[in-house]
Amino acid sequence: MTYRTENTIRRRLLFACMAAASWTVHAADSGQIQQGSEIALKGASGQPACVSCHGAKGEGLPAAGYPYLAGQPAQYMIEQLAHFADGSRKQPIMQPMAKALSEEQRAAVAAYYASLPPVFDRGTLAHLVQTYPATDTGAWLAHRGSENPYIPACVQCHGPGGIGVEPVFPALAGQPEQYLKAQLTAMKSGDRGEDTHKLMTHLARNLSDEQIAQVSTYFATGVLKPVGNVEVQQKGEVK
Amino acid sequence: MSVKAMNHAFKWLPTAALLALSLTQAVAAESFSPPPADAIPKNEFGDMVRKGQDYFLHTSQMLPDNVGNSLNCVNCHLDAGRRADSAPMWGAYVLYPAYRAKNGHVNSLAERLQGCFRFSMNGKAPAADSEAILAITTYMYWLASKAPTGVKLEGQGYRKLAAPAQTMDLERGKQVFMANCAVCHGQNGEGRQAAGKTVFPALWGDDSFNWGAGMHQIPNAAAFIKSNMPLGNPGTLTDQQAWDVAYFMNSHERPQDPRFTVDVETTRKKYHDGGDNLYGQKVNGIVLGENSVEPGGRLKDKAHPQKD
Repeated sequence: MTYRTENTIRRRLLFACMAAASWTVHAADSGQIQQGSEIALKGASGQPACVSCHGAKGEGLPAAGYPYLAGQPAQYMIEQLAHFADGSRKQPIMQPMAKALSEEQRAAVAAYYASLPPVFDRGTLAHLVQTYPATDTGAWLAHRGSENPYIPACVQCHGPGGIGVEPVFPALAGQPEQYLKAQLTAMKSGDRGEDTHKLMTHLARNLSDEQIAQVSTYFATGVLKPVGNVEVQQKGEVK
Repeated sequence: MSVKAMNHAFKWLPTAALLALSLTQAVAAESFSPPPADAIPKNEFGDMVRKGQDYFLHTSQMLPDNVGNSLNCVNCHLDAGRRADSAPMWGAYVLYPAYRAKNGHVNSLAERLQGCFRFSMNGKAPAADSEAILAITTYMYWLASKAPTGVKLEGQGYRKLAAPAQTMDLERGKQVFMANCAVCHGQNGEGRQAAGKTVFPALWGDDSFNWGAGMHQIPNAAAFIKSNMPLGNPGTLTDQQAWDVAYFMNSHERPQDPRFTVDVETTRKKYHDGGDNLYGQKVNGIVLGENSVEPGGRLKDKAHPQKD
């Protein structure tokens, strides 16, 4: 048997295993999602329901600066709830609520919100390509980053169009501007807990207040504007 | 001056000359900054620079007939090929044409770029006179604007690390990987996608660079990792950690070397005959290279569409 034939078999086996594994995970989650949806709709441990601020379908409340949760990576939300609970992410509304939930309840509510469809069209936004948004500082930071001080482009970790990447990089596209601005500011001051490998707490320190405002505006609204014209974006051009 | 004193002086002369030479070289490593990224000229020339920049950033998507994996140039040459110590394109541009031991002749810049497609992108090189090579070359030329020619600029290539203090170790490397790299690159080095688009590149396996790529050489990988990873917070790994994790990364299978001749042993002797080159070496009971898929990645399926 040549190494080629062996590998074809190996790959097919791998594929079969992966298919089986994803099914198992899905099946195991349904009970958890059910439990999470009850916490979201009715509240738990005497705490108000999540839906009262985060919307009936986890879509958030932009006017008040409350973020969407729908479709965010589960592990990201579990980590954030842990940070609220241990007080390292300073947020007066969320801290007592997260503290009141057990670890199991937090995992359940995270699984529920992760299972909801996001507020934006992932498939379309994933095609967003901007290689040279020279007239928009926010878009430049998002798609190209900054050279000095060195900041990688936001989309390098948060995914094309800021759609989020499993397991810990949240979606940014369409989040309330006020929310994004507050988060970057809190990362800068160290009030948002410790993120993965301290990547953002480190990077946020290099962002000026002006850059924070510009990139927040861009992800809140700007990134969603051009997605009606995917053909143009694929050529690396957004006008 | 006595004969003895003269002899003494002559004895030290080569040392002094060497010292002077190395000092000159240290001084000669000129610092350089490419033009600002948003200053591409707004004219026909600038259009080609832009095109080259776009190929550089979205290689896999824009050149589907030449790229066999889902990598883009920018994965190993950060900040659109601008970042120092990340093999920046301005550093490379001024060093070609160059003799390369890899193929034993003087390579034009076009041939060097073709090598990237064949090995790092596990694909098929665009023709030397193709638009893709012209555009990427134009982008590189623009990045190197006002740089001296034939000079190793400061930040060119990857910043070499001193030899590891301890012998590289797979177990330590695995620990470094799991603690610092896996969240982005996956526990099996497979990279990560979102909505079908690659976000974090595969570090080994069928969708990564093949056994002929420069990054499979541990000193290159260790140097890249030390200066650039984790992305956004580099310099947080020690030199030893960079060596160990580079060793761990390259102790896995990846697509076959396109120069494969006869068998793994012959191929190793011909192209991989170095102490820390793991191709053809036995790691965890497996001879690396013996289980590699043939090179070409997704291009193979295009050439021979599966019937089933």
